[in-house]
This record gives sequence, C-alpha cells and structure tokens, in this order.
Amino acid sequence: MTAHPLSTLQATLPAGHLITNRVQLRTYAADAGLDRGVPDGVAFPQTTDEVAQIVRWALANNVPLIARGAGTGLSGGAVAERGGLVVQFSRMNAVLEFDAEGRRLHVQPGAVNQTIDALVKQQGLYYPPDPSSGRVATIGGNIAENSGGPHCFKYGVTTNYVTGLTAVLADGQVARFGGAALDYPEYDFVGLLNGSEGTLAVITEACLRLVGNPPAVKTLMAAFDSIERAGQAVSAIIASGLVPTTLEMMDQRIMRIIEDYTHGGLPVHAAAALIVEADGYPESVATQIDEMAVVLRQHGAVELRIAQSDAERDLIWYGRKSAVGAMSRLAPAYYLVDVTVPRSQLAATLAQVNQICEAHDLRVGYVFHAGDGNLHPLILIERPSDHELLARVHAAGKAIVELCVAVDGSITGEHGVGIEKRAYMPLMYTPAELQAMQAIKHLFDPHELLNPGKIFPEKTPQLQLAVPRVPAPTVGETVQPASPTEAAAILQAALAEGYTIRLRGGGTKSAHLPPADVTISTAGMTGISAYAREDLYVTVNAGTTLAALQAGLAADGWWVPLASPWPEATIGGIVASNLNAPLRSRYGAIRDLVLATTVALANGEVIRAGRPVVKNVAGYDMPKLFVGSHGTLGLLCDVTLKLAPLPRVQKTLVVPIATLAAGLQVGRKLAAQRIVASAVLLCDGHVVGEAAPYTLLYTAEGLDEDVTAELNLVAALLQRHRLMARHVDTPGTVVWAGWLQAQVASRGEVLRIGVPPAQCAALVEALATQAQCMIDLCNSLVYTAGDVRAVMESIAAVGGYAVPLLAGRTRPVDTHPTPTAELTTRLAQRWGTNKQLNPASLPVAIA
Amino acid sequence: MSSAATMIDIPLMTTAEYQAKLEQCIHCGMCLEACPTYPVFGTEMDSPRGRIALMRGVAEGEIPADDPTFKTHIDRCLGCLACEPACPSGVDYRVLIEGARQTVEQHRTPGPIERLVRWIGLRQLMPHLGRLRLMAALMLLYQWSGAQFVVRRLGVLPPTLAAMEAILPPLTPHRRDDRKPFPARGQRRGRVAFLRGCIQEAFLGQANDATIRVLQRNGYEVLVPQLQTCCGAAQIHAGDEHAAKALARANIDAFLALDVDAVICNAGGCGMVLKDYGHLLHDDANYRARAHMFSSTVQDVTEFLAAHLHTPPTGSLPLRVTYVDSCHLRNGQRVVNQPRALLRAIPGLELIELAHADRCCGSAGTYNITQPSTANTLLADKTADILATGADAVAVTNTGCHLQVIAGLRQAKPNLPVLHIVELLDRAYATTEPKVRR
Repeated sequence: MTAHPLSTLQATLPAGHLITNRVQLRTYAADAGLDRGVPDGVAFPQTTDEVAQIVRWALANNVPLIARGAGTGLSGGAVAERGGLVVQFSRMNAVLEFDAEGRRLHVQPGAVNQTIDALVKQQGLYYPPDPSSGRVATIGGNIAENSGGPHCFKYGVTTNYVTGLTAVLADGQVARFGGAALDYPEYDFVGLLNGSEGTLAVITEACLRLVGNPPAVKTLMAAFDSIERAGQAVSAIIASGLVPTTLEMMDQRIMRIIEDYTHGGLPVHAAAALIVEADGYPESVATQIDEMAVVLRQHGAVELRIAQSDAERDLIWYGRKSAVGAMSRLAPAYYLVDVTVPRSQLAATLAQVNQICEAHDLRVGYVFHAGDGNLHPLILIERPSDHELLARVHAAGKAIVELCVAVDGSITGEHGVGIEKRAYMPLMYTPAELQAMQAIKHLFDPHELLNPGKIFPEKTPQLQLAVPRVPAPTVGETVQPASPTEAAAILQAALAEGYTIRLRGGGTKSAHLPPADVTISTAGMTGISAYAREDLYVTVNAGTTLAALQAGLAADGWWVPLASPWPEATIGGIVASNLNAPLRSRYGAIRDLVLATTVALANGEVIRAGRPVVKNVAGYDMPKLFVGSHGTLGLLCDVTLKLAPLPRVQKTLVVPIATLAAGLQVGRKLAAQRIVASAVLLCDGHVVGEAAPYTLLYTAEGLDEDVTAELNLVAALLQRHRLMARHVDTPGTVVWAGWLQAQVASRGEVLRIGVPPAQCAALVEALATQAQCMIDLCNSLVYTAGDVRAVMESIAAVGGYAVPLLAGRTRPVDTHPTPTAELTTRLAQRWGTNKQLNPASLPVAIA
Repeated sequence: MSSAATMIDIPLMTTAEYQAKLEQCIHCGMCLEACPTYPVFGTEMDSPRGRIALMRGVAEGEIPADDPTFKTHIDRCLGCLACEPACPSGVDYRVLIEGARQTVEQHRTPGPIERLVRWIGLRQLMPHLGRLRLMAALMLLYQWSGAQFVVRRLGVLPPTLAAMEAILPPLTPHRRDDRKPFPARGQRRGRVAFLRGCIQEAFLGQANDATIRVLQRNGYEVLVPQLQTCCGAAQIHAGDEHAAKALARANIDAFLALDVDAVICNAGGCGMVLKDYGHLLHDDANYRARAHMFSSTVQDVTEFLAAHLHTPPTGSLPLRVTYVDSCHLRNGQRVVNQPRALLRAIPGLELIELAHADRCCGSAGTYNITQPSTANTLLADKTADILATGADAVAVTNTGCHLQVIAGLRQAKPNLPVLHIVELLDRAYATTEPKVRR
C-alpha cells in the first residue's frame, strides 16, 4: 500500500500541503460513522488549480481520491476504504464573494455551515440548510451529502440553495456548472452533484442562494397521549394551510432518557411530544402559533407550552438538542439510523421499528423530523467491541430499511449511502434505475478514481434489456402511449429503426421545432395518479395540463406553485423545459418542487427517478437531470410534485415609474427586503393600464399578517422615494404570463436572459436602449423580444446567458466547447442517443 | 528531579478507567470548530477528535508511547477545554489530555538546561511565595532601571526566556500584610478563606487586594491561610503530577481545618485544579476523602459574589468594558454568566461582548512559553477582537489571561487597562468612598 508515488505529488505541491506520516494519517481513518480506512496521504489544497493538479496526478498514478470536509458524515462517505489520497478542504474555506442585495454567496467548499449563516445573518439574510453538525460541517460536505436539518420542512435541503458549482472533473479539467444566475440552459449538473457523495467530481467552489431572514420566530411544545394522535396533529397543521418551519417529534422513551439528564421539564408522562415553530413577521408568528395551538388541541394535545421568551424557547430546544448526548451517556456508542417514509406512515412505521428492536433485544429511542417523515432511530451500542451485538444492530438496521422501502420511503433521508448503506441500494432501486445511476458515474469518472466503492452495491444486479415488444411506428406517425411501459417500448422500437423522435406535450414548444420521423405525444397519459395531501405531494401524468391540475387541487385548497404562460402547457412539458415564473423566489423552482418522475428511457426501460418524500439522498438525485432536459434524455411519463396550501391572501401593488434607472433602483431595494413576495417585476409598456413609461409590480402572498406587514414596508420605502402605489387584482405571475404570451404572439420569439443579480441592473440599462423587456427582479431574469447581440459579450463576461424561450427558433451559434457542454452531449448520447431523441430541442445559449 | 519522581506513578493511559473514557468519543467532530488549534493548523491531528484518535492508538499499543508525532500534537493542545462544552457525548477530555501529557513526559528526556529551568520554576519558585516576591522585586528593578527597554530593543534573550519576559506586566511596588483576618464590613454575612495564588500574588497583587476588599464589603471576613501554596496547575500542565500532588496535600492541610463558608480563588486556572483535587488524589487513601471535601468548598470569586452580592456598588463607573473569558473558568468550571452578571451590576458600566468569547487567548498555563508561535497567533486574534469592541477597559478572571492580554495590547494599545472583574467592582465601590489612602 505504501507503493504510492506520493513523493512525486509532494514535489508539485506547496510545502505543508501533503501529509504522509503514518501516525498522522490514523486521524483521517474515520468520519462520524462506524466505517474505517486509513488513507495513504492527505492533501490540503487551497485553490482550484491545486485541486486540478492533484486530480491529474491521481489519474496518472491511478490513486483513488476521497474529498473530505469536516469528516462529520455518518455513512462512511469520506472514509478511504481502499486507501488512496484524502483531499482535505479544511484550509480551502474562503468566502469569495458576498452579494447581500442580490442574495448570493460564493464560497470555497471548506467554509463552515454555521459560520456562513452567521455571516449572512448580519445582513438580514438566512442560509436555511441546518444539519445538526452545522457548527463544524463544511458546505462542500453538505453539498456532497445534500444535507437537510430541522428547518427543511419549510425551507428545503442543501440542493435547493446551490445555484452554481466549480468542480474538477476526473480528467483534471475544471468545469463550471450553473453560476450566480438561475436556470442555465444546460442539464442540471448542479442538482446532480448535490448528494453525489464525491463520486462524480471534486467541488472547489459553490455559489449559494440566500433568503430573507424572517424577523420573528415562535415555538411551542405539545404533548400527546399517543404517537398516532401526534402524527394526526402534524397532518392537521399542514392541512390548515400553515407552514411551520419545524415539526419535530420525540417519543416517550427518548423524553425520559433526556429528562433524566437535563431536567428541563419535558412532558415525560405523554406518549409523544411535538415541537412546532413558526416564523415570519412579528405580527404573524403569534397568530400562527395561536392557530396551530387550536388545531393541536382539537387533535388531542393534552398539554401545550408556548414559549413566551427566548429563554423559554431555548429550554424547549435544549431537550431536543440534548437527545444524542443523553443517549450517549447510556452507552459509549450508538447506531443512528436515517430513513424516510411518507409522513402519513410515521406512526405505523414507528411501532414496527419498536418491534424490530425488541425482537433483536436492542435499546432504541427516537427523535425525528416529523414534518419530513425523516426517522432517526438511535440504537444503543453498550459494548462497541461486541461483534454479536454489532451483528444484531446491523440486522435491525437492515430490517428498518426494508420496512421504509416497503412504504415507498427512502433508505436514507439525509446521511447518505456511503459505505453504510450501499448494500441496501438494490432494495430501493430496480436494476434499470441502478444502471442509469451507474451510467452517470461512468460518464463522469470512467476510471473509478473519485471516492470509489461508495453508493453502489458491490454487485449490481444485471439488467436484461428487453427485446422490442412493439412494432416501430411508421414514419410521420404520431403515437400516444397509454403507459410508461408502452412509451418505453415504442421509444426503443423507433430508435432501433434509426428514426428521429419528436416528443410532444401541449405543443407549446414542439410545434416550433423541425419535424421528426415519429412523434410521441403524452396526450394518452393524463390525470392525477396519486394525491396525498397528508404527505404533501401529488403524482400527475405527464400529459395533464397544469391548468387542469390546478383546477383539481384548488377545490381542496391546494396548488402546485407553478405557472406557465401557455394554458395548454402540460406538466411534462413544463418540467422538461424548465421555465420558471417569478413566484419561484417564494416557493422554489421546478427543480425544487419535483420529488420524483417516471421516465421511459431510450433503451426500453422505465425508471422511477426519486421518491415521493421530501428527503431522499439515496443515490444520485436523478429527477434534477430531467428538469430542463427538453426531452433529450427520455420521455417523462409522470411527475410527483410538492403541494402547497393556496395562499390565504394575495395582494399586488403597482407603481408607475418615470425612468428605467429609477425603476431598477427602487425595484432592487424592494426585492432586497422581501420575505413573502411572489413577484417583483419591472416592465416597460403599460402592462396593467398605467400611463407611465415603466411599471413596477410587487405581489406578496401567504398569511394576511405577513402580507400586510410586508406591503407596509414596501409602502414606506416607496414613500421615501416619493412614489405612488395602487392595489390591483392581477398578481405579478399573471402579468408575467400575459406579457410573454403577447410578445410571442406579436414578435414570434422572446429571449430569456439570466445574469448574476449583481450585474442585472447594468445589463438592463445597456439593453433597454434597444428593446422592450420585463425584469423578474427577485430571480434576476430578463425577458425581451428585442435584439440583444450588442450586449451578448457583456452577458457572457459576467457569467450570464441568453436563450430563446421557444427552443429552435433562433439558430444557436457554435460556442467554444466547454467541459459542461461536452458532458451534456455525452450524457444525451448515452441515454437518449443524442440526435435521435427530440432533436434540436435543447436550447443552446446564443452568442 | 521531576522526571525521576513521576516514574513511580502508574501511567494513566494504561488504566481501564482511562480506556473507557476514550471509548466515550464517537468521533462526531462537533469539537473541531471549538478547538483553537484546529483553525490554525487545519489538520485533524490538531483537533480534539484527532488527538483522541492518537491517544487511542497509544492506548491500544498501535502507536509507540514515545512516538515524536504523538508528542508534537499532544504538546500543541492548549488544554483550554473548549471541546468539553461542545461535546454531545460528554467526553472527559481533561482527564484524557492529562494522561496523554503524562505519557509524553514519561517518554522524554529534557536537556539539562530545560530541566534546570523547570526545576527552578515549578519546584523552587512557584511553591515559594517569598522567592516569587523577591523575583518580582528584581523585575521591578529591571523595569524601572531601563534594562527592560534595552533588552526588548536588542532582543538578546534566548526564545524561551524571551517568551517569559514578553508577558511580564508593568509592575508597581506591592506589599500586603495578610497574616491577620480582614474583618467584614457592614452587616456580617460569614467567613471565607482566600487562596491568593503564586504568580497572581507576586505580579498582580492589586487584584488580590481588590478581591479581599470586595468580599469584606459584602459582609465577609476574609482569612488568608499562611501555610497555603501554589495550586499545582502549572505542574500538572508540565506533566509533573508528583509535584502537583504534594502541593495539593499542602493546600488541603492549610484550608480544610478552617471554619469557613467557602474557599475563594480569583484565578480560573487555579480554581479548576482546586476543584479537581478529588480526582488528582483519587489514589491517595489518606487524602482522597479530604480532597473531595476541600474541592466542594472552592468557588471562584465571581461565582461566589454573583450569588452573594449583598451590597451592590452604587457608585457609577461609566466605562465600556469587554470581558475576556478564562477558558478554565468557562469550560473547566462552567462559570460563564456570573462574571457577566457582576459586570452588569456595576452602575454606568456597559458590557460589550467580545467576538469569539469562547476562544482561548493563547496563554493556557505555560503554552505561551512552550508554543510561542501558535500562542501568538491566538493572541493576535484575541487582541484584534478586543480592539474591535472599542472598549475602555478589559475585564479578566485569570492570571495567565491577564498577563497575556496585557502583552497582546502592548503594541496596539498599551494604555488600555486590563483589570480583574473584582478590581472594577472595587473601583465602583471606591467612587462612593471618602478619599482614603489605597
């Protein structure tokens, strides 16, 4: 093992950037999990170039590389199981750029989670992903594991906050994926790298999206007679249309264990307790908590404690946060299982986990993120060296995992697969799904250099490709498969004939693309196939129009927070083309709302990417790849989307503006203080009947108190600028849709320009001399029907892009091939046979 | 001398109790950012988790006990114990590092000069207050004569001596006759005994005077037992447990027979060791029980006063003050809020919290002498944080921090007063006193 020619690496790195001392290396043998492996060396790079140098060296010498942040992972992800070189990021931790107004933070991967949250809080901003290890865990590690935390219920996980990555690929090339702008016209490799556990590329920079820090927060604790009732209360709160930031549950066992140690006054006589927290404007949190208290009482809460001060809030959290410490006082070690189930299955799952642990004679306690269905059974290990005990622990762990898979849950919600759970991957995924993931691995890392052996089972089940089961369609035919299996069979048959295939949803884009030999329409796959309000998701067949879906949900008080300018747009088409309305800054983008999707692949297989749970880090996050893939990777057959309660109140202010400069200045200030805004738009023309040259629109939605408080702030700011505002009924997203429709109708095409927020104003000013435009200020997206050739260079120079909305109309100009473009081509070739599947649909940035 | 003497003690690392304490670490890494040396080196070996991994290697026989790498990383530990409050599993790090230091010490042969210096410092000076006072007088002469100015300008001292010289505070002549009890003032509340310390008494005697006066003023009669000696902290730090035990026994003998409500200490580092005599002497059948009894009566002066401030100061002290926590008070004794409460009890005084208040200043016993480079990095950070507060004065609660902070400010802001919290209280009381000779 010591044959590694590390001395040749030593010679190329600055002094002190490599350690090979055997004694020192022992300290890098583990992360926070139970697996072990001593590396042959540890490198401490400080720049992307240095990382690239290390990767090239590793490639030349065939040495495995294991990227490592703070080593707080729980699944062995950073363990050098096969030896090799650990690439340690603790010294590569600089903040490269902080644009507080534009809400972007550009950091090196060694930056510590809580350190950056503390930094941005100074500017009234918030970086929501908050894993329990956040005090020490690095952003690079968070990205590799796609970390969650107690506040995910409202705010989502790490991937929802990463907009761009710089990474060194396995061949030593430096690639940029995404950036500080949003919705780059490329496959969502950023989404793919999130949660890839260091197996695809070595991340060296990350661009993060931040949100406004809600000015107030309030916490309550409720006790229940049974876990079932507590579970029902959770569902009832969600059904009431309130969105708490946290819904944490503790069972009686763990409360007793904690209370013995902390004496903090936990309701130990109750079967379960919930910690519920709400945030927002001060006017709103009190009423939110009161309303939740009513719901909780109606659903059997026997005791309620509402924190009246920070000290009382700390006391409530103290018990919850002491859980692990309290458990570790009972035994020197423990096995922390991490699994997710659809939330409605929580109580039943818990009872079964108890049975499993009793059957294996193990002591277990629970703390869990009830809102996310993320369960953390903590199994005590009284004698860490007792192999018989460890065997029982692992047997119980496997049984728990099987239990969760059986109810459509995930084998890991936030800790990752790593070494710990790789053997369980075939429990959750079919051979076709595993092979699809392995194809990605081979594409990025053909020589098994990057964190080898992680995620994938040692033996992947063999996939027997089906022979074509249906006759190929005839040229010129439009077929409408009725199921994913049929769609896959048709795809396979048509591609085998060498036909080109056009995929068609509502026809909003495909109608503008050149004809292909065969058209496959999703019109045969419509309707809602699963509607799980309690679990906050809906699965809808791809041919369903968004309008039909929203109509169905609205009757129940729900919606999917998406919008499209075209009423005939289908769910499949919307996901494939990834056009995000202004409301994405309030609710997340399409990539944040898609939990799972069933896809017919060109090889005739059907895979289900993702699962209907909000926390799932088992294997690669494949749903992200299909968002914005424009049908080049496969045919989306159904999509599982996150549900949201319909906003109780929606209010819009319009402000006539005299000059563009004034509009940008005020609009940016307004956008910079938003918490519940669903649109801040600046448009030229007279979109809502204003007679001024420009119009500023501000829509806020959600709870009445939040909306009122925010619009008061808006009004105050407008007053300082001596601007008059009036209320209108049309929200910003509707104005946005109408404007795009009208432009497309009259001009034939609209460009979508994405730029880093810091450069948005300058770009618009340069642009406005030539063309009409609409600016989505929250998302730094600009739409225009005019000629942008004069500003293309400056857009590209700041890391922005411009693409036609209706792909195919504007001929792409060949750009210098980047590693990202190469990966895009190669992935399309591998999965979709490139030019055959939906040819010419991928928008290429114009240059 | 010291190394020969310690050989007769059983190596702590080989005991079952120690190995069980090692198992308590589940290597979750939550200690990393709490540890001051981790950000300096960025390496696992210089974090508590990494050191524990090395200790495990030695305890399991996989790393030789005399391994130089092991020694390097154990030596780099400040012993500030910031990892303890950060640890969710309750790892008893102070016991682990103590055992590791003892092992390092047992497997090392210091050169004759180091042995001489240590013998003088730990055995011949610190336990003997008279000799320390004599040394303080010589140092006073050294400062007043202008020799210090010359020495500092020329930089002629060898590194170890230069590091020691650097923390020498500006001295003033000081003498107190404390053979007789100091009577309570106002309504009598009780009686306490005061452990005045060695370096503290010789070099920062004013803080001790203030401690006595503030206790008196709150109704306490203050005894200063004359047979007391150095607490033994520095000896434990240096791995000389044998000497430390002898000092502990002497202090127990000097204090335990007294009829007092509490034994008061005003230095966080000393207090932590005094409260730990029970552990230090756990294998001494004659002293074990008495040590526990003694330790249970020890309180830091801020801890005691926060609970017994019967006569709060009424005079205003219109100062913006920042407080530098003593690690051994904060992490070792978990006394965090009491010093702050006392400062807030002073009318007119505004407490400005220091950024990174939980971070060691680099003093850490003798660390600033043995690891000057790391200590100076930490001190520079601490000094910058202090200056950033814009405070008019710095409050401290430990001898080592006191000297270190003065040294840190020497370049940047030499006139910024560094005072023990009781000195600030004392000044607040003094503002309402008729002018008397102080």
